[in-house]
Amino acid sequence: MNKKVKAKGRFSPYVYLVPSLVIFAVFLFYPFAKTIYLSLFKTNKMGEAKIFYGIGNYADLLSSPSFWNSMKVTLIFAVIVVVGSMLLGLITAVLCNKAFPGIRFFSTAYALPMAIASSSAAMIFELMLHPAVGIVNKLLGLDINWLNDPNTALYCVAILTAWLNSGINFLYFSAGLGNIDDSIYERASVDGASGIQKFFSLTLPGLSPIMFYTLVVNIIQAFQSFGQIKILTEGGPNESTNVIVYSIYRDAFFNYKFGSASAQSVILFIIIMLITLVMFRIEKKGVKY
Amino acid sequence: MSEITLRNICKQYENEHFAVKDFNLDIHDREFVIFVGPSGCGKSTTLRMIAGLEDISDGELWIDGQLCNYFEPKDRGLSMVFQNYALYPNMTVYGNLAFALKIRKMSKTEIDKTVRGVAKTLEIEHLLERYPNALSGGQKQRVAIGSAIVRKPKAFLMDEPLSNLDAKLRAQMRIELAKIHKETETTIIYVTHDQTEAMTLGSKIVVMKDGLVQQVAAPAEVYNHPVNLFVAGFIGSPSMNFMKAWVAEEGGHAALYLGSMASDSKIILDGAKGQRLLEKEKGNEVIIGVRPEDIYEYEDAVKGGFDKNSINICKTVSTREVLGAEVVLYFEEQDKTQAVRLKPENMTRVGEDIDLYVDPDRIHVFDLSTEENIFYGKEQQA
Ligand SMILES: Nc1ncnc2c1ncn2[C@@H]1O[C@H](COP(=O)(O)OP(=O)(O)OP(=O)(O)O)[C@@H](O)[C@H]1O
Ligand SMILES: [Mg+2]
Repeated sequence: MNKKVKAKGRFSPYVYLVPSLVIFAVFLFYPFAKTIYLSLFKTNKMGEAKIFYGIGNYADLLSSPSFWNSMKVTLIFAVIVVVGSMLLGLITAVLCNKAFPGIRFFSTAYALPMAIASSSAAMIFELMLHPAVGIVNKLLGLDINWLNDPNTALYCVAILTAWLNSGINFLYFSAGLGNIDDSIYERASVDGASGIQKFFSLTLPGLSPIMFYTLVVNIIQAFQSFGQIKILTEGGPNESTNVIVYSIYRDAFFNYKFGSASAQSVILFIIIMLITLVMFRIEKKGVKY
Repeated sequence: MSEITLRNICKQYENEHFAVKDFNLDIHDREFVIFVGPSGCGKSTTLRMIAGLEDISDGELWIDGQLCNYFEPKDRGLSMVFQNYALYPNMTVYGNLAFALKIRKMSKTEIDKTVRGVAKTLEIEHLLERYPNALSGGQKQRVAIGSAIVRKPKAFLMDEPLSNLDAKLRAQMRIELAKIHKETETTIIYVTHDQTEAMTLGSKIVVMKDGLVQQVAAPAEVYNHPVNLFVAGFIGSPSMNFMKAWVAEEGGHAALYLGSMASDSKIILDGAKGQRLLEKEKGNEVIIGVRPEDIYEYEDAVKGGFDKNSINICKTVSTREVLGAEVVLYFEEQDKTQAVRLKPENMTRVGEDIDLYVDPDRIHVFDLSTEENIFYGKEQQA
């Protein structure tokens, strides 16, 4: 009897976890294991493992200039997106942190990118950047084929993504700012601090706990951007926007190189995991209160 | 050198309600001004308007001869201790103390010297490396005071800076503040609920009620010559006893019949005070106020020469409190509990009767409808 109760006590927590574990297993663990498995094979067009290739897929990638280009493009893209979306989110949140007439309109506008599908935003952007009829060229009086020029395409896609991701950052930062006690600003102004001094010595440190999580989420999000690239540039021109996620998609579903695509997925996973781990390490040292 | 003048200062929040109305005050250099009043009477609001944290709806604020209504807080040269501490959570205690100095671009060594000096005065040296969330309420409050006194402002504004300390620490800090005031020779405007702080620290007390200034005067003046019923009841602990009485003339003197005209308990007011009372309130009902320490036993009344002035005031003791240097007896009169402060030798027990004698010179009489002290003004001239 006693034993039975004990045994029950030991297992019952896991019973409650079963539903979520099942969902994770079907949609996460199994595909992940399968990806690692596939990355060690050459596959047929149906995506079935045919010939064991060992680390051959990885070796091929590391010696392929296209892969290294993808890495470089991804890095530039991620830096622009993360810095851009965080700055945009921060600035808009700080602007909306004061009560003024029309604040509701501005808050909604700044949070809106959250609610817009990346594909529809991409299509609107495409129109705006159109070399002949686009409003951007019209306003700037320029004649640039933004999305077809290898020098500008990546920046265009990155800026669009930064804007798309800024909505959720606006929300995070607004919540963070709401947690900062107003009276410390009052004390600072009596103490003689200017607006800029207040921002750097109170606002930024006050946001640092939420800043960290926002940063991690943003980096992961940036690495995983896909829809807008698919619609705007399809990795081109000349692979200048061929970020690694797009390259995975292209290898798997156009070139039917599932093995290589799987290997790239695994590498992307490792990169994201490493970055996240390093950041958690830094965070433990960095935030002190 | 700092002169702060408030001229008809008003504060109206969005709800149109006056939080502060027609506030007039002259604060001279090195004065220690205390704002007292019940919760919500506008003390903090007034202080925040002086600091520049709250817009002034109407009136003029002059600091050292400059109209400061539209000056930014940082340009007013004041320093403030907040009711809720307002410590910077991301800085250590040291950082909190040093913040205002860093902004003023003081040299590192000088900052260090000043901060450590202040920390020593306030006994928070051992806390310098801690963050505010690791401090007790009392420690936070001392850090808040410290961050205000590290620099030399034109005036300190303090909003209940000792409210969260225990009795002993509060007494100690009170003495410390008095010392700081003396040493820094700086004007202090100080908000408090605490009677003792108000009476001991202040060189001038401002009593407020519902956004209106009731009386501005030195502590002793406010205590001995309250302008109205509210001030009389608010200042002093245990507070002043109030009783209704009827005024009549008897043999050229004024007589106050307690409760009703038919009462056999009465107090005789002779001299100028009696004349004034007859002049203003003869035949009327009034409220009389007597402080607990102005009521005596027979022997003391004989010594004071007023044993004939209190007739038939015999009360049954309902509660007895021994406070070491004195004993406070409570009795019921006109459905209110009244207090008498007597010498500790008094042995009257609960349930026993005691004959009481009121010092007629120390009696206050308030008009029933206006609640104003009818002796106020006349007394000062006498
Ligand atoms: N932002 C505001 N909006 C509307 N009314 C306010 C606001 N701040 C304060 N009040 C009102 O103004 C009045 C005065 O408030 P104040 O904070 O000055 O009181 P106080 O005397 O400092 O009280 P306490 O002793 O409790 O601190 C109160 O009735 C309060 O409700
Ligand atoms: Mg207050």
